[in-house]
Amino acid sequence: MQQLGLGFYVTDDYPTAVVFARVAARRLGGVPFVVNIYGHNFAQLTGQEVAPAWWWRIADDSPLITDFDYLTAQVVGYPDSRQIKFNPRAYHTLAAEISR
Amino acid sequence: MNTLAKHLSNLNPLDYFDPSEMHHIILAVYAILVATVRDESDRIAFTINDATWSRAGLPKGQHPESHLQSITFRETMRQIIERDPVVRAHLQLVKQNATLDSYQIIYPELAAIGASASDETASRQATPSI
Repeated sequence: MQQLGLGFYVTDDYPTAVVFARVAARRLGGVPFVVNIYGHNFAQLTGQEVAPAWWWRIADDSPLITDFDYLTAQVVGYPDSRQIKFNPRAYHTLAAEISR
Repeated sequence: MNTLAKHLSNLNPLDYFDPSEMHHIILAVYAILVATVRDESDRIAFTINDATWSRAGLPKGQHPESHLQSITFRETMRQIIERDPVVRAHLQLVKQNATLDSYQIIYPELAAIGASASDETASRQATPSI
């Protein structure tokens, strides 16, 4: 289950990324690993800040999913952390960099 | 797969928490429970710094709290116990003080098998030899 619904979640805060990598490793097994993600032409993508009233209840066919490239919100439970969630329609803009 | 493992693998926390009270620490504690059960642990302890799970007294894993989180694992575990009847049925608080909540993990299925085996052994022992 995901706070902003269907999509690919990133954060611009490295410590937050580490926290979430650790949690994912607990749930799925394996070791935590953080990768850099780039959104090509990010400035041209359309984004929307999501109000708390919609957290945890965005349907897959919601306009928040279909009409925007990405959504932003606080990471609830981590008050100083922010998240960016790319909707499927923006996946083609994403590239991952795996550091050595 | 035991009942608790099955429950955790099919879990939707929104069955127990309203969206308005949902937060990522709940998901983190459920993830810790998944690891605890996967490691076949029989005890999990929440301190002010971390969660540690163990089996027969030997540590199997540990997950640190983050200074970024607004709610402790300990407090969140108490909420989960209060809301989630399956977790409540499998975790029994065995020690609590100012800095620690420690839970025994109970696997009723294993206990039943153990009881059956014990009964059988007891029965064999009770049967007079010819």
